[in-house]
Amino acid sequence: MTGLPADYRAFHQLYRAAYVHWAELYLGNRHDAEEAVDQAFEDLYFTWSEVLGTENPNAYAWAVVRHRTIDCARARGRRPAVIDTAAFETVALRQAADPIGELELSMSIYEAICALPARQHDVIVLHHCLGYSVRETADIMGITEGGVRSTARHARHRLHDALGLEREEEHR
Amino acid sequence: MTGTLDHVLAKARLDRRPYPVVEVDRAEARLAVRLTERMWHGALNFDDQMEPARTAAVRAAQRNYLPHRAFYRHLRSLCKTVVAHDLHKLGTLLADRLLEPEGALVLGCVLQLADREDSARFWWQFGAGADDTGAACCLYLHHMALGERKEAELWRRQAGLESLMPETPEEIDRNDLNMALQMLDGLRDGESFSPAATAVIAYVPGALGFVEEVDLPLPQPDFPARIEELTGAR
Repeated sequence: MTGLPADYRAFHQLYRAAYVHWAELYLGNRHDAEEAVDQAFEDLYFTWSEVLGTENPNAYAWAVVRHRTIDCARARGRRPAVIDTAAFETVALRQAADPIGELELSMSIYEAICALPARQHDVIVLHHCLGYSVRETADIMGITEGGVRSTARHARHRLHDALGLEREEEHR
Repeated sequence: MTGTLDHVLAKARLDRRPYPVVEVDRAEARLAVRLTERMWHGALNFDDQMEPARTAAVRAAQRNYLPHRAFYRHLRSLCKTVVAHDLHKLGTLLADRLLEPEGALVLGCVLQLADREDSARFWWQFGAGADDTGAACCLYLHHMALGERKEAELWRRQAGLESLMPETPEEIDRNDLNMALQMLDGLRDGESFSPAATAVIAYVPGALGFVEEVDLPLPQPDFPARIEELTGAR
């Protein structure tokens, strides 16, 4: 018994892992991610009845987590660490025959992902980078599955342009 | 073209580092401690800021009996129970500076445990004035502990507990066990316990000296120690 309301505890149990995974990618290490998510859950606790009263508690909570994570990155005077660290940890890189070339590619992908608008960034990170299903991504962010798909579509258009994929195709 | 982008995105795939359940549990325990400390300090801070209002409401004590230690003990265990269960009700107070009667009961209990008796009384009066039975129950014990029986009697009636609570210390008796069990049955009818019910539940076993056979929502053994640690740390 921790004295925390049961619904708050259940919410924490359901979403903490996803929040930490996302924040870890943004902040570059788990320790900072845990701290940002702790702070977010403290914020949520103090407004818990209001959170539950909102139409979409998941979306509200996601906004709080996002806000706290970005605050944490700013406090450390850092750009999103996703560019710096995630590029070194991709599955592809570990299996690459040409690690340097692979790393360059990873870096440019992550640069492009970081330049996306917030929602598109989150959908791509959760769904494509972290491998959450469309359904899970929708649940984590508090949007519909259709919302995830259409946001991903828009994000893909942008990434396409940003990565110069069209030009590549045209030259072929 | 889509295939190409999919290929590129596949290269951005990361292995999710595992986040085992034990980590979630550890995080929850850490959160509980952080929140308890924030609530605790927030409550004391709020009370500090309200000092002028409190001072204005002070009146002379009417001690007509000797202070009674047993009631002080029961009050403390009641306060610990309320704090253990309902500390989150201070959330609204600390977030919006808005005190609801149910928050006043908890605030009073926190202050009592922090040895701020006068402050505790003030906030319980606020709660009891809005018909919070738990706060009235606390006030009854508070005045009995101080030997102020007239006032204790007032709050006993306010709490509607005439038949359940002894009028004088001498009436506390293990023979009242049957009555206590009846009370517990009555209180356990509902889905969950109200603060008032919790207060009475905590009070009765303390007064009658039994806990073992009844499944009571009492705080964990380490909770009082943690609260005291926090108080002592100030």
